[in-house]
Amino acid sequence: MSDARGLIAETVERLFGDALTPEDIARAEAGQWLAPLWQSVEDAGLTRALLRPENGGADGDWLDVFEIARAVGRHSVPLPIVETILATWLLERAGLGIPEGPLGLLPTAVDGRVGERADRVPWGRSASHLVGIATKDGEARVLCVDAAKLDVREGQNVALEPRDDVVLTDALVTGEPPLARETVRLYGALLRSVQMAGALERILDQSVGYAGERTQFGKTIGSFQVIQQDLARLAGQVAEVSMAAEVACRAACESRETPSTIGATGDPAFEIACAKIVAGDAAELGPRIAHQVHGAIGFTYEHTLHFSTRRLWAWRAEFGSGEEWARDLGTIAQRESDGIWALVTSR
Amino acid sequence: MSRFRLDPDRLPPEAEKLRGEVRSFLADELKDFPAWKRAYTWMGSDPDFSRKVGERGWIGMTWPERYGGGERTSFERYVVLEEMLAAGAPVAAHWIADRQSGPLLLKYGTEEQRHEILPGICRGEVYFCIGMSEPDSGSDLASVRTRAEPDDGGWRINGTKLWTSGAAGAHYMIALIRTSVAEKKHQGLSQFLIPLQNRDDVSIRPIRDLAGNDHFCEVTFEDTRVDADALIGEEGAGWGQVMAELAYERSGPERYLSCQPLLEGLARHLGPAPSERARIAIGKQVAHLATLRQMTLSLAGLLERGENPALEASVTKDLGGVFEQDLPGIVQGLVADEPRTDDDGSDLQNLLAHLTQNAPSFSLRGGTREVLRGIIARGLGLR
Repeated sequence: MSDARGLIAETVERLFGDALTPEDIARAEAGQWLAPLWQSVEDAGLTRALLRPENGGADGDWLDVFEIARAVGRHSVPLPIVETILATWLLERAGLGIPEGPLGLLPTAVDGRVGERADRVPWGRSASHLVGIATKDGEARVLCVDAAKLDVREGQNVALEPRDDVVLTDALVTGEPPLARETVRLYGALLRSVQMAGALERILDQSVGYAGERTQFGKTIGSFQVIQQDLARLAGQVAEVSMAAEVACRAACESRETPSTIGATGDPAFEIACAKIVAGDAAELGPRIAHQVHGAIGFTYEHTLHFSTRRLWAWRAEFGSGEEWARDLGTIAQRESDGIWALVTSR
Repeated sequence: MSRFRLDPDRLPPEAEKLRGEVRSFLADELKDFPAWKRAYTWMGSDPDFSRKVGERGWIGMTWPERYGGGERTSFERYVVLEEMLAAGAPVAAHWIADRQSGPLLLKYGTEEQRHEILPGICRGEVYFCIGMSEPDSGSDLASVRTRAEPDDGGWRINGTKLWTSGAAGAHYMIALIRTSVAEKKHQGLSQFLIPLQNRDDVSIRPIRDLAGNDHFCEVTFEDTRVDADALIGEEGAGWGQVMAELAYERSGPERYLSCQPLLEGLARHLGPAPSERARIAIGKQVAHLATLRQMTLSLAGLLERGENPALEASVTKDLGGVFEQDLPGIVQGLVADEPRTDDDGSDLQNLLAHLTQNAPSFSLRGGTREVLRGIIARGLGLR
């Protein structure tokens, strides 16, 4: 790990480990914006991690973002941190100005027409601006829209994070150069995979901790082999998703400027698809084991386990489910005339 | 915080360069190699093939040149291994010697043993088997009862080893044997190098498995006499030595690639435009395959740097075992073709028949799933 990465990892662990309480997360789930924590996040420069110094950025790369997004997932941070990181990165690449404040992301490409609706926008209501991809005349460009000029219909995902439907009304700005239409979906999937790796780490730690404390039949439940076996499986899920997510971030670091299609050389889509698929599978098995180990107490709102498990269930469906990415990846793999192994080893 | 030392690693260019060379070698050598034989992967034995691999310098690749080795990196070796496995090449004859017996002799053998044995391994002519399990000792390996007693400056061995893969064709066994009865069963164990060929005090009986193959054997020692230098390493330190050896045994690409010929066979069978359901299924397998490959690559890096990734290897082998064990069922769920072992069956049918039957062994050999998960649980602090 580079020094910069190590430093970022320490910073986020301190920031989210100490300053964010379960009560804060519950307040955010009830609709409150955690302004002081957001301020600390901005002050630490986390939202501009990928930007060049002239834009007030840290000139970081996707492996730095890996540390941030994993911590966001690990601590269930109820703020649009990864969304803002991706949005600022898109704006800089498009040569557009970087607005202040939290930014929202349009999860799928739009035409950019006035009156057009964009659904399930993460943090639409809290954002100063929304950033996405607009396709016009066959070309996809970055779009930035002032959120003050939007009609917002509030919604939420299963983790009670804002997912709002918005109507685009006015003042659409698009940048240069053109990008791939799928850029937001692709990098959104990358970020969610990393967050999921963090959330899985958390439920493993919580489950191991609980199994070591809870006593039944005169001994800690963690001393029963059946519990040990389940927790070992959960640990395997953590290891696999962490590896897939980190490899995907590495691929994103090395990607050429214009993302194109899964399987193309210099394109991180293969690795990102792998990460989202693997994370999606783990989001099924992982929470099952964690809840089984915790028993009834883990099923209460009072216990904090659900902050992570509900996020896993929500995130696995966002920016393309594992099944959707698997269909894309399977299509590419089938077209590979030299076979699957040749494809996998060419990465 | 529960994190494993599995950081992404990468094959250096000199290792990657070897890939094309191995592929063209395999394309030539396995030109007429039938699909059902590819299904055996590293359980398929062919001494002629092993000799040819040896001629290429692809056995003992990392060992010192003075013992016949190639002094190449673990990553170069890794490329050769993964290409052999993915192609379903019959590597069994030399596999165990290359993977763990040679490295063990390099670490603990006498100089004489190294000069006598290692060059033959590198030529693909000397084969090993591993004597661990016994009739009453499987997962509870430390309960082994085969005994060695001092005998006129050497040792006399009595007992039976069971499920020993490849014993019938092996020149040597490295066995875990009790040399003293200690208070704790993990103590008092030692490793021995036992020549197997041309002797009447060792009997080897191949055991037919459910698929009709006889890879594994029962090996019985009756007053088997070995010299003093047959003791490998330290007397009584066998358990620790075996555990270190298991990191080699459990960390390699053979722990997730056993069904690769079947996955390729499925892709070919489905053609360029399969159903959406099939594409999703294949996409999922590719994602796990690629990730498991990164995990084993990371393990190769840890081993290259001299670390002992026993815990990380257990995690990877457990995941890999589930992955490769699931595959025959997934394939059968996508095709109407029945598994067939007869000559009239298609390649896919033959692969499916052999791997469906062999799949149960994937989570038994080299440490059962339950033992691996016990090791992981210990790593988590649960035991």
